[in-house]
Amino acid sequence: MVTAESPRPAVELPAREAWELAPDAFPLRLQLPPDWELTDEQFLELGALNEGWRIETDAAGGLLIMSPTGPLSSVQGVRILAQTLAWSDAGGSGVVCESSATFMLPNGERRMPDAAWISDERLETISDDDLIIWRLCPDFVVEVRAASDRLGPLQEKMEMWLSQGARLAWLVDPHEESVWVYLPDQEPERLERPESLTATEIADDLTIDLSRIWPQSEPEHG
Amino acid sequence: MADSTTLQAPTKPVHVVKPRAASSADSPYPLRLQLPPDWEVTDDLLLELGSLNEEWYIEADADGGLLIMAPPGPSSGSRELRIGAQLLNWSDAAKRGGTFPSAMFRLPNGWRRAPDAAWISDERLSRISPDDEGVWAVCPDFVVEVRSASDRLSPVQEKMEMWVSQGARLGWLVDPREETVWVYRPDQEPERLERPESLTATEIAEDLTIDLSKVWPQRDQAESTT
Repeated sequence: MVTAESPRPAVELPAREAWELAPDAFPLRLQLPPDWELTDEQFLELGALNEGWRIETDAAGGLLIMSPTGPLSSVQGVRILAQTLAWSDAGGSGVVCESSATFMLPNGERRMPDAAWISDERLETISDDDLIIWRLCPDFVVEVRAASDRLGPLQEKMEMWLSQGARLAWLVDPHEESVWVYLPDQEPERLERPESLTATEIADDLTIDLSRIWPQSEPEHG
Repeated sequence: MADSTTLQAPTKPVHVVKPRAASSADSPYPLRLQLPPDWEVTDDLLLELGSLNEEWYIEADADGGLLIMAPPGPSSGSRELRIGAQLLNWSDAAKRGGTFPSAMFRLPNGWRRAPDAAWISDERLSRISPDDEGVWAVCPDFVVEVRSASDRLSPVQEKMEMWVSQGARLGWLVDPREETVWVYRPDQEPERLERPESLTATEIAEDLTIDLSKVWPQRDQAESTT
């Protein structure tokens, strides 16, 4: 029985109007002064100093502060990662990264996908200087929507992955029990609670079982 | 629940977001962002951050942390204004001190904070340059904070404790949700008052009385009509 996730201990339950005002507060965007140019080292230091928050940057000098991944979305992310990794290991192709890997995209943004697969071809483009942040866009990205994620910014992030070079991206939304499939230059396609999904754009045999991602039905449903 | 209306206009796909459990939406403010030690947040930088991020209120602690807060909603803003306006009227009429909404103060402990309303005595004002548009290195004598809907109580209480420990002679925490005022004085436990109609800041001046009747949420309509 999976119930609502609770990322922080409930020190003081806010009054109703508090969460109506800020029901989905994240990401919080903080514009940095233009002369405050973040190096990769500073970016990583910032992340290390603020454990629990996930911090990305956009191309306009903004910090994007995301809420910590709750246990439930973490479990869901790992389920997808594990299957992608098993496929990659079995087929000997590409590598799989989880959410602590940062990618510097062609537009200058530093982003961290929940799960990503990078083809051997793109891996070859990495230079020796790219030890801490990879300057490339993953081929395949999966984002799992956490309870505190606003949908709009997450959708924009998906569009961004595609515009920066991803060949396929999935937005897995456990709350809506749906997957949005993003392909370059196409409207995203919404799938209702798919039991499994094949990333044909990547490989015909990369099939991810999603059945345990979705909230369990009540017993009377059988 | 019309939660879909709280979403900004969706970019491409349109669908409705269901309300979530309250536990996932525990107000995150103030959110503290620890900056690396070599990023010195000068006063100018802090003010620049504030003007670059008008959707947030940004303060700084003494350890390189930024405190990011949601601004008050319209009703909290109106309450702050009501109290600030009375403070200003008294100050102007009495020709004593001054009120400075939205001013940022550097406290002796190194924190830089901005109160919702503040009054500063002439004596303390004489220590700073009146033309200084930056952060003032002085603690106001009298500080009022109005708890807004997104404020958790304990961070506001801590802020009040800080004001009185750093030099404020009097602090009021006005909590419209609980319909209370907490009165803070140096070295004393705060005093809790239930929905006072008005309150006199005797520590500042015997005639500094603030009408709070319109600060409280209106009760039953029948009571207020004749």
